[in-house]
Amino acid sequence: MAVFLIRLAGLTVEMHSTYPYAKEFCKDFLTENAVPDFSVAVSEEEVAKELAQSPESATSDYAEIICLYRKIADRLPEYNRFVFHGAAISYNENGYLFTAPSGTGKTTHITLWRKALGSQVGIINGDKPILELCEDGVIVHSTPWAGKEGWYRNLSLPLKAVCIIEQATTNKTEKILPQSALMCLLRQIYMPTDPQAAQGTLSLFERFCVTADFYRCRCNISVDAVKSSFEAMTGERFDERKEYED
Amino acid sequence: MKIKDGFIKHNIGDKGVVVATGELSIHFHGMIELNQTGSDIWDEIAKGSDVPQIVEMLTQKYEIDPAFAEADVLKLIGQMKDAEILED
Repeated sequence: MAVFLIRLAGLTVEMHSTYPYAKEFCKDFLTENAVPDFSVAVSEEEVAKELAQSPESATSDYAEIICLYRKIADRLPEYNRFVFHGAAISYNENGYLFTAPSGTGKTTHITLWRKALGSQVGIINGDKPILELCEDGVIVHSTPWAGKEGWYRNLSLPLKAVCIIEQATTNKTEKILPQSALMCLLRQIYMPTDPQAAQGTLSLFERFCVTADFYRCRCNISVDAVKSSFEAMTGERFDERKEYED
Repeated sequence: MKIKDGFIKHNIGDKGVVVATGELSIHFHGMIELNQTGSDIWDEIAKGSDVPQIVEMLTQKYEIDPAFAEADVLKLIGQMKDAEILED
């Protein structure tokens, strides 16, 4: 059994793990000599249940880190935070969050941004960032839980825009009211099973809807797709001939 | 007619969203979106109102024909029963 501290989304979490992989997995988020905001631990039974329910967990040590993140996610609403399923990237010191059902093309779209805009675009987290509701906006925080690609950088930035990606033959990005995509957005949020935590998450979701800017990008996989979402969300003009590498 | 324990409803703008929690979430995985009328009907059922009381509320609030209101109420109640959201 290992006990270690991580600094995640501005919180200190004490992790209790059975398998050595958990600490290795969290290596970029380790911290020391801090008072934890809360602790999480996973039982052998919970690991076994996760393995049985989710064959993609494959091994006990991987199932343990999935369970640990779920335990963390259960506590986040107390701290005005929640886990959001999406790919978060950085551009010009702001965070941009792309979301869609799995398999729609989030990863493809952020890869296109990276190709077209070069190193001005960085990854924050490719799969499950944490969003924090603050007085003056939303902060997107990275985590090591970053999907099969494992794309993350330990980084927190103000969230400039949320973009729902939909596959299409042509490219069009428009600003939307979140009310027009409530279920699509809500399905991307980790919902705790504890009633109080679920109520807290729904309250945060309501604040998220009135705080963040939302867009819908219907796009293909061309550079025009980047032009469409980039110009709509950043307000900047996209020039594909410009050298964006810094 | 009672909404099963474990459903949590929250209003977002003029819509309502409902999620299942606790033991209920093991069997009920979906989330529900309610329009304004659906949200009002849900709240009335949660308060313990019966069909005539809900129809009266809708008729007064939206100034609609009671027959239309009753049809809407019965339709939503039917859907909630089918989805095993309601119990007797």
